[in-house]
Amino acid sequence: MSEPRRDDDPLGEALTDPAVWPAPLPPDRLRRAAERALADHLCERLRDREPARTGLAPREVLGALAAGAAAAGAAVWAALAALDGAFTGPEAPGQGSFPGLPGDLGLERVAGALGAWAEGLLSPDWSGSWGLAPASLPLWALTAAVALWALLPPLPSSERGSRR
Amino acid sequence: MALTAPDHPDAEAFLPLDPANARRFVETHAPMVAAQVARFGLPADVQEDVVQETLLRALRGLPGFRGDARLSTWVTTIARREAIRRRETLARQDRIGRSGAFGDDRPEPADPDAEAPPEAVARDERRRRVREALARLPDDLRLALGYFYFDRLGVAEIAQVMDSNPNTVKSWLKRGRDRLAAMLGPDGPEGDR
Repeated sequence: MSEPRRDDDPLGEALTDPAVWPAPLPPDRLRRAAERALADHLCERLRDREPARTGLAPREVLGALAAGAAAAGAAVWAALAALDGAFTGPEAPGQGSFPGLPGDLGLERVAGALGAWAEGLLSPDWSGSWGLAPASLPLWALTAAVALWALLPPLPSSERGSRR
Repeated sequence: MALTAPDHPDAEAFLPLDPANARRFVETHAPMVAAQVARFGLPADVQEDVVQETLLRALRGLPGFRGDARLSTWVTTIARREAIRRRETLARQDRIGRSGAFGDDRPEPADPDAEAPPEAVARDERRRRVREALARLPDDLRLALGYFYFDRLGVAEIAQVMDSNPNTVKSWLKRGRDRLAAMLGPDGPEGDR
């Protein structure tokens, strides 16, 4: 069956006449529909690019969770270091001293553990002193992830809609 | 298959889709969409919603449009799906019949008794006869004829728009023409001129 032809007879010619087809929307209604579509489109694009007006954007929520996890991990690590006897007091070599803190309250141990943790993080030689420094690797990774999250620019907003 | 007509810009002509290009896209396609949606026999307020939704969906999808079809064909497909969706919703609400009302809200032609040139009266009469015959056609036949003769889509494009195949579209076109010819009588659209 070949492709039909247009305009080759009176009927075909009549069917190309717009007046035989239902009238489209009048210009004012068409303009209104078009303007609404444009406005909706622009609103959607703005909504895709800006955080929600109430509450945190998903990116901020994840960043806050990651930062919270890092802080909690550091606190737990320091507490465990203080309690499990890995740290033997301010007089231990390499851990520094905290002369203002009374040793029998345990505060000095905690403060010493925190200081040692920081020292372990900053030390290029993780084999030294406590043997706990490698345990800070996850914390390093988490800290780096949070930093990247905060520093990298947002990804381009993806276009929604159907793809053919 | 050459799908790009010089009178219909490619998607790239509207990218990046900044506000100015989005407006240009809407201005380019809104009249075509409105004419197509009118053929579904929807009330005017619903037609307005369908045009709006069609343009919005097209704007959403335009950056991802892969160019498998002509841009205007793609927009036509969106318009048809949206019109059918709304028509089915209205049918469920008993606002229109399932096949659409295909109402004719064109203004009445000039009063024949008024001082209109005889040629204008005869032309209006021819148009009225064709319009009424079209209104009595089943949906698929009428829509296929509209896409072919009015929107000047090819058979393959109509098949794509109507989720069918080219042979079926050719059959719709032939049956539509045959039924129109039968309704219009031996004189065709010219009537008893």
